[in-house]
Amino acid sequence: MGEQDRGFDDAVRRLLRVPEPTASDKQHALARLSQAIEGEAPLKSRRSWRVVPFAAGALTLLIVVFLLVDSLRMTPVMAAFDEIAEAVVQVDPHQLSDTEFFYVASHEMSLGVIPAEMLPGTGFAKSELIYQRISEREVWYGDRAAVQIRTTNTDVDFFSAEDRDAYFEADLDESLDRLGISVTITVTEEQQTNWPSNASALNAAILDAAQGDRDPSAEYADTALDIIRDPRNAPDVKAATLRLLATLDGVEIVDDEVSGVTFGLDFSERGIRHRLSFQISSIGTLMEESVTVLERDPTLGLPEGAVTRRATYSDVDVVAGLP
Amino acid sequence: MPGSTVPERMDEIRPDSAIIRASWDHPELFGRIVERHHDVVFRYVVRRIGRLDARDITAEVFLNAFAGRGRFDTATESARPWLFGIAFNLIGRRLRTIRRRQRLAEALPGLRPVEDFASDSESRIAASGLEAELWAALDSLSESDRETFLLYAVDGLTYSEVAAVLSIAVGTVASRISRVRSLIREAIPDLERRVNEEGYPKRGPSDG
Repeated sequence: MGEQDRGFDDAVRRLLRVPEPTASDKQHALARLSQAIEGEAPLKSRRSWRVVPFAAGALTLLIVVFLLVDSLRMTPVMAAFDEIAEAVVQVDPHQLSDTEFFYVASHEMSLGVIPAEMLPGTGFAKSELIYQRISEREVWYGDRAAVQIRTTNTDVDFFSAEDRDAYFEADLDESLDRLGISVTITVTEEQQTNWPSNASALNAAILDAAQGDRDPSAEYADTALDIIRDPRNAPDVKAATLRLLATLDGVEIVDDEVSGVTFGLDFSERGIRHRLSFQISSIGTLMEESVTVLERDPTLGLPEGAVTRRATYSDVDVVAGLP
Repeated sequence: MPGSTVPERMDEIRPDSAIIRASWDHPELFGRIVERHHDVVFRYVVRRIGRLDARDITAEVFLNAFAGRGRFDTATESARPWLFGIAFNLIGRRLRTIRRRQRLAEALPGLRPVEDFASDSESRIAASGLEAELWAALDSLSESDRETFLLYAVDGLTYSEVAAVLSIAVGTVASRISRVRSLIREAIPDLERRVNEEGYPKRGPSDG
């Protein structure tokens, strides 16, 4: 660290006047420690031949209780998920009438991959053109089978000027992404709408659905997030899903705020390290998710830190009818 | 402190790890860990959740540390990252309690809503002028960048200690701190000059 940085940090420190502890604050901590020490010391000093049998019995009992409690002890990640899961089941689910829909809007960014053969005459020298596509999406969830999705691609962004030039020269903004034009589709989802709420059955169902070429943990997390994102899924299903996510190896807390908790999970895709981040509100709504490459991806030509997917979701509304 | 069997020449034992190891047999020695680190842990707790609960939560940090001292990795000399990690978890639990109370308050109209903890930091409430500008610049950062920088610049942890607290690589700590400095300098180009001119009192990063 240079002298300049030292001076700068000192200025920040002088400005951020965090209240100082008083002598009684420290005394309070020391007094409570003394109580804890006193509570611990008698265990050592009261040993005598008369109490040995009782102590041995008590010790055995303590060990059994400790082992039981230890096996049930929650990690901070589990506690965070469990807290949210408890909140989820307290919310009474809204029963849609025949004319009502759950409505969710989202701002999304996804990676576009265009093979060079789609760029004739542009002089594009690489095998694929990689770019970021920004979209606004609205989804109306009706009964179990009907979903209407309206997507508007609003902008595109590129990792190099060469990519940008080739994209616009090939008129892909009009022919492929149709920037500024809203496209509405209606889909029916017959599969995987009735997730079980029993933990082991749900786990098996997620494992069955989570098939892909990435780390199994990433596939599992994506499927679990699909369940949490869908407002039609029952609270007990969402709660069970959250508790299953908590058991996934590698999930960690990134940020813990009043509005919600952000979790992170590193995974490998084509040998490249990625990070999935997702933020879940205190009442179990998926607020945001993103995927970032943690190292340079030579195949796709992505720099370290490039975001390959991001979505920010609105709260769920109930609306009468489709637009 | 209760107990009288203190190892001779204890004052020469400098690293926290040695004190904690000795406290396995002489629990009263753990008071020295409180003496050494209370103030810096306290400031961290205040910065995260405000003054109101800071005294109790700081005491809880040391009680938890004392109860779990057998699990402390004595290969690590400084106890500070370990204590900050305990504080981080306790604060997380406290925030979840606040959230639960908020939900209850929302569900039961008779209850007074609980204020957002973020608005409970007195230093922010009292901030004006240059302080307010700095808070605004900090608030515009991502939580992870801001926390990394404040652990280093305000709480006085070293790069490797910050890395241990946040479970990230030392290189990540360095790049985040560098990024934050650049962003603050961009937002407030004359920060140092104004701090000097306006006569803000000096304070060391880990004094107390």
